[in-house]
Amino acid sequence: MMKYLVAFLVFSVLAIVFILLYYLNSKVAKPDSCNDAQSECSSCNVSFCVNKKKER
Amino acid sequence: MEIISSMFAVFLIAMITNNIILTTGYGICSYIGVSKNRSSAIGMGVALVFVTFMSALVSYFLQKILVALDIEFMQTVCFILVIASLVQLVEMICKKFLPSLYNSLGIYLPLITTNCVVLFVTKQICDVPSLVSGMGLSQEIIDLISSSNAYDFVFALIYALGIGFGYFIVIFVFSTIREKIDNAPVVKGFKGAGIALVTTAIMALAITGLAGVI
Repeated sequence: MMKYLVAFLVFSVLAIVFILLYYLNSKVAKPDSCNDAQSECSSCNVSFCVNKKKER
Repeated sequence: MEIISSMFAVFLIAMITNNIILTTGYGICSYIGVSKNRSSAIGMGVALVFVTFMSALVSYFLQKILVALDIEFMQTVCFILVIASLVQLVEMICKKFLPSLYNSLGIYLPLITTNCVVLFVTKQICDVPSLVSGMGLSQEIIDLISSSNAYDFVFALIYALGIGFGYFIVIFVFSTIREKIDNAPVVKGFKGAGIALVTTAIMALAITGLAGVI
């Protein structure tokens, strides 16, 4: 039982670190020259993004 | 001297003969997706080398903690969280201090979180002696690695770097080939990913031919 509690604690610590870094990352402003393509493209659709840039 | 040559051999084997894309097929999604132009391929390669190295560094010590606490079953979950956190950290640093690099990496940087190459490396380095024994090194070197935590750690990092650079080289070479393929008269059914996979298979054949040399 103690083992699972420790496992949960380790997981919680790592999850908190991730959430903290995600929050901090979202707070940092993007550079002015940045083109936000993330809203249109995700995961394995990167080739779609590249094609789209070519079309433009 | 022998230990240094063994480290170099591990680096070359991880980079060339045991190339992660060409021998296992891991990371093929980003490989096919990002290799359409050369600058994107270089950006993805550099980002992956960095994240793989940092993940290996953190995961090595995390694995020691998990073993000490007898919770090794948490390995995969913990490593995924470490990789995701590192990607956030790298993205943050790039945004703040390296805007030009952030712009060139753009959408490819968050994609590394889901790249199975990084997770594969972090899981592989948890047992360096068995990893190295599969590379054809002498028994003396394997015993030396098993006896010392310092050597174990250095070999783990070199292996991670080798895998990262292997990915970088293959994606770069493939992007240069693919730029030429785009202008070549390819049969309609093979256009796009089809011819990309055929080209990758030919590259894999060439790479495996070097297996006995290194």
